[in-house]
Amino acid sequence: MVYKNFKKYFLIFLHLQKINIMRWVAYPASFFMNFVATLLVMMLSILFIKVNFGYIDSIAGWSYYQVLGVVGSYMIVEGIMWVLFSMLNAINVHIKDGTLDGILLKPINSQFLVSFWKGDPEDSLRIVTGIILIILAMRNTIGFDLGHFILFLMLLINGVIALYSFDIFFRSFSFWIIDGSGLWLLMERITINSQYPVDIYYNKIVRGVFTFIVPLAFVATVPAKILTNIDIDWQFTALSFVVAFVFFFGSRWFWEFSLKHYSSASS
Amino acid sequence: MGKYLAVAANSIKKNLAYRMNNFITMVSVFISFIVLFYFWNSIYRQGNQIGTYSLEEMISYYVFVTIFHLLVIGDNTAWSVGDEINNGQITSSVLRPINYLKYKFSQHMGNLAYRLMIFLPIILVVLFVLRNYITHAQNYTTYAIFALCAMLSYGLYFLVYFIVGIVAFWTAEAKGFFYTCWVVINFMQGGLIPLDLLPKWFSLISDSLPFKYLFFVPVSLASGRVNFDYKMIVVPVLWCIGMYFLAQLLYKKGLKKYEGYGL
Repeated sequence: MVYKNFKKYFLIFLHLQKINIMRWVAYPASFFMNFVATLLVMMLSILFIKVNFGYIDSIAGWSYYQVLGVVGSYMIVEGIMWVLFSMLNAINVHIKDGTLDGILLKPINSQFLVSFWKGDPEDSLRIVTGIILIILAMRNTIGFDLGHFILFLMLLINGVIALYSFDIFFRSFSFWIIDGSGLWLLMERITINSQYPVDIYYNKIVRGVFTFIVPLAFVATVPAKILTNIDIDWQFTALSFVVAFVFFFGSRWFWEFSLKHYSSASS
Repeated sequence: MGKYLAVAANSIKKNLAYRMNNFITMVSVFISFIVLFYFWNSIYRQGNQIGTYSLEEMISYYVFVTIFHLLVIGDNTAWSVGDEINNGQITSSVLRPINYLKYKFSQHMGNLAYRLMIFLPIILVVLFVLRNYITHAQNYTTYAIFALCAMLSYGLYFLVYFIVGIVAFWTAEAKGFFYTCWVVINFMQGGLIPLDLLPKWFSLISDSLPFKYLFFVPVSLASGRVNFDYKMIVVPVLWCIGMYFLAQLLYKKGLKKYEGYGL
């Protein structure tokens, strides 16, 4: 039964990815421009770090290559979010226009379908750029270490789960507030800010908020710390798994709860 | 004139309809200010300095840039014009006795009025809390000139993105182009890095384009980094005039190509 369900959902996932690529190929010029824009965003993010490090040696104890590790981790997590879950950005529009009904009425788990309904394949460039930065960060800090690298990958997956869960939790508020365009802005600010090490928040309360309430630290800072430091911070490594677990199941519960408050605009 | 005022008033009402959304937008704005404060403090508290910017000047620069960003947030003229062209909605504007550019500008002004109402309290709170970190112009004349520069910046911002949006007449899907323009313009206007921290050759390019008058020049004036120079007014005025005629010309040319697709 579990295997059958898994197979069914996996096939649907593959079909949705196929549709994404077909949508993408339909407008090659627009795809190319999106690709160029994404490339520019990546280059400018790196330029921002480069310009600042032209004048300084470190930020809150993080060297240039360690910061590149944080930015690279952030780009990979953000890239995965765009490639797989870009539909989350449009939930509020579908709720406002009443077009979410078409998705909810299908005999499949609503959260699964809403999450994977639409993706932006051109953002895979973010993942590629992130990988390059990660390689640069590794080579110029502790070098390649298999143990550190496997742990880094696991923490990066936790980062994706934490950010996805936080995203779906916040988007669920759209069922109440209807026009949730502000939620998009809020998520954008939160996501962008995870590209800086959380150690910049030298005030303990602020750092605590951006670690445990808004899980910024677990998106890029904690994975990059493992990748670029010889000593492993086991406390934060363990916490990363706890945070991913709590946020995932918490957001699942909240999504189901919020769905009960959906009053379709199209009916 | 009355009909354009009605359009602006409608924009305000439309925005005010979703009050909870306004609150969430304010929270996200607040987060931006917290992050920029800690980011620059963590750099400077180690005894560092970025270029010729002191900590106060750097925080002031990004606080003012964030305020400028706030006043244009969500006001996606290019996207809105592009959507109306691509889905055929523009037909209803074409058939009415209105000037489309003035119609969109009225919406743009309505959005600005709404944002001023919503964000002014939080802007004032931030300026008060960060008062020891904010550098600003030292006399009232500079403030008056800054106000004029800011208005010109807002008008120029609208015209630039209106022209970008008009490109949709020539393509069925232009969102990728809009996004690329947004990324380039944001960088060229000093939205990411103060332009005077970039190499000299970049200044030469930047000086021959209108974008630095969108954010960099008014922000530098407000934060007291530069003194008034008549070019700060004359150049953007000339760009506004040029952009206005270019926008009208492209709109007329675009309409000849328009097929009412999507109706």
